[in-house]
Amino acid sequence: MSDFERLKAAMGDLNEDIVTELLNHVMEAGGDEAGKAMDACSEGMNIVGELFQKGEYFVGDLIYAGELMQQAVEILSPALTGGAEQSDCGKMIMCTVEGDLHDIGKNICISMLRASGFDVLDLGIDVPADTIVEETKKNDIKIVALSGVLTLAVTAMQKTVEALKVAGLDDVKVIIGGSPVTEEACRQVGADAWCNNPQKTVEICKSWVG
Amino acid sequence: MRRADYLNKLYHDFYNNIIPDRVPSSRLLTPYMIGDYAGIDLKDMQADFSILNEKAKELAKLMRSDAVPFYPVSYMDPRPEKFYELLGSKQFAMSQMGVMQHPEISVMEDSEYGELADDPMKFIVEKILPRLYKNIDWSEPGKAMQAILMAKASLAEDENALMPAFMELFASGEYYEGPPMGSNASTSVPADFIADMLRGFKGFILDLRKHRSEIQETCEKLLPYLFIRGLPVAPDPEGSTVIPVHMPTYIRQKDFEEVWLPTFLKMARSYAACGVRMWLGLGGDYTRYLDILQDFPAGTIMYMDQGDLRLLKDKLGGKHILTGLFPIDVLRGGTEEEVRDTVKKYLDILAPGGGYVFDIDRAPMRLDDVKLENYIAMAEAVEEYGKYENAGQPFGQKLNNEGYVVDQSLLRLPPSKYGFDWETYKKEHPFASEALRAKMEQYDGDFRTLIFDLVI
Repeated sequence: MSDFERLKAAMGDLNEDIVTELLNHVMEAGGDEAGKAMDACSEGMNIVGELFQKGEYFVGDLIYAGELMQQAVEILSPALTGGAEQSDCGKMIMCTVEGDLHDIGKNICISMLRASGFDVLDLGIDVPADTIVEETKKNDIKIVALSGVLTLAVTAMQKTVEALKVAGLDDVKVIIGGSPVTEEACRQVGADAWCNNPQKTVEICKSWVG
Repeated sequence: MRRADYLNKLYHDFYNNIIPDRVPSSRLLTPYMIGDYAGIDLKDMQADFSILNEKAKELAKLMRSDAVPFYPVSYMDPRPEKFYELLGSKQFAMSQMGVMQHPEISVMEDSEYGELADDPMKFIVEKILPRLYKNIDWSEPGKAMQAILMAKASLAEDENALMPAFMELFASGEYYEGPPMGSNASTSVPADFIADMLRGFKGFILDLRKHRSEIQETCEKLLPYLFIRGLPVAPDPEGSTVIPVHMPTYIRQKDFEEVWLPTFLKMARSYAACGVRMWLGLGGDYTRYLDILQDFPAGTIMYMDQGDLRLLKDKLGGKHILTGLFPIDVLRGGTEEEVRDTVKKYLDILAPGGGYVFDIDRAPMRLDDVKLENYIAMAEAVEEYGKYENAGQPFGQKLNNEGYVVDQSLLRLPPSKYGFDWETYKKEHPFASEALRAKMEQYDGDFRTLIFDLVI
């Protein structure tokens, strides 16, 4: 098994010691293969996402994986040129909707989306529909991901979808997620998709960018 | 017969393992919902909750509910804006629309477990309070005292603000008069306490891998404080100790069993031994833990918001009391007929054999979280479809069916810089009557309560 396959597997296993050791090797060898190492870490993140989807990993593991990824970026960044993250899937927006200040789920999704090649514009928490519309227009965004934890978040999501339509942004795809979100809530909100699983979020968003 | 008498019997039966006349069912209107109904800006409402009194009664009278469908403001629900703003709270903040909530923060370093475990009261008073509340800065004692006293004054006013409407309905003879005084309490599970208020969700998750034994040790040290906090002064089967549960669904089974569960079980079994019923808020998917939940002390109320209804009923229904589960989605988007049909469908599964208290999976916060006509229709449908044909028969298992005994170590607080010591007091005040001791110890308990109120 090559070092990069080992790195990918160690990331998937959330084995911090091996991940750090292998990344340090890359840097000690001059850092020429930092890009390949970063790719291996991203592929490892996909394994983490798949294991979460299978019910073998839990939210805590995703948070730990996010931390490991962050460490990887810090170790490799001196040797990475042009930014550590690839963004071949294009730009998208993610935020927690108006009225809701929770950000754990949003942040997990963003780290998984970024690891998968999306350039995510994080608008933060408690974001009114108007701001989302404005940023969508300004940045020519085609995917908007809305997160929320409180019951009232569903109503705020519905208002955001309506505001996007009113602004003529009918071609923008909207995905919603968070603990109050269900299939029925998605239908009521009028979003294009829903999900409470970061890996699935990545898959759906990827399917939209072809 | 007054409706209150009918309901008092219904609840007395239910919590003493006798199938009642029908499934218990109460509404809960938040001050935010009442404010929306009154057409008042939520920020203005929180400046003076008393402006809700008339509208609270009006809205309450529109719907069927066993208990008065709203309650006076407390420090916990909704988190009173003035109280937390006066203290300079970092852990409770208002969103743009005026709803108070708890954003993720971390106010303890991973290197501080030892200090917390050595003397939890000292660490919380001296280190945590100033980090949670910028106006509790012990280097500015006068300003800190001012903030605390002003915050307490505002809280007292908020707590009384909705009392006139509440007491009028309570005294009307139309509602369940509630469990005996002193039979309710609330607390936290030690591991959740560390995660929610001290290390933060993310910090706790990372510590599970890097500071596991320190978490375990600290949970043991926090246990007596949190156990005593949740011990009602006069336990009764109709009362309960409310324990919102947070971390289990987010962590691995191994972490749950080795870190979260041990101190919870000590707490739970000693509560059972004291005749205390636990009310557990189990938000999230607990399917993987059902066998463990089944082993919790008999008669525990389990509020759930998801899961396979038949599986939950089958696994937990015979021993425990289920509540929640009815989908808010249908109240938001369905028709009245769909609401009635869904009530029937849920009661057909959850009601038989007793042991189910009707409630929604996710409590509405704002009025537009549900259609009001659906909310009203739901309440009526529960009374219609929730009738038992076998009322009067025994069901379930009685509290402490298992015969647990109290773990006395949970009742002994470790020595603390902030603990009250009667012998020391007596030396300083040699003429003080022995009769004063109980009072002083009560004030000491009140102090601990206030300190933990500030971190829960």
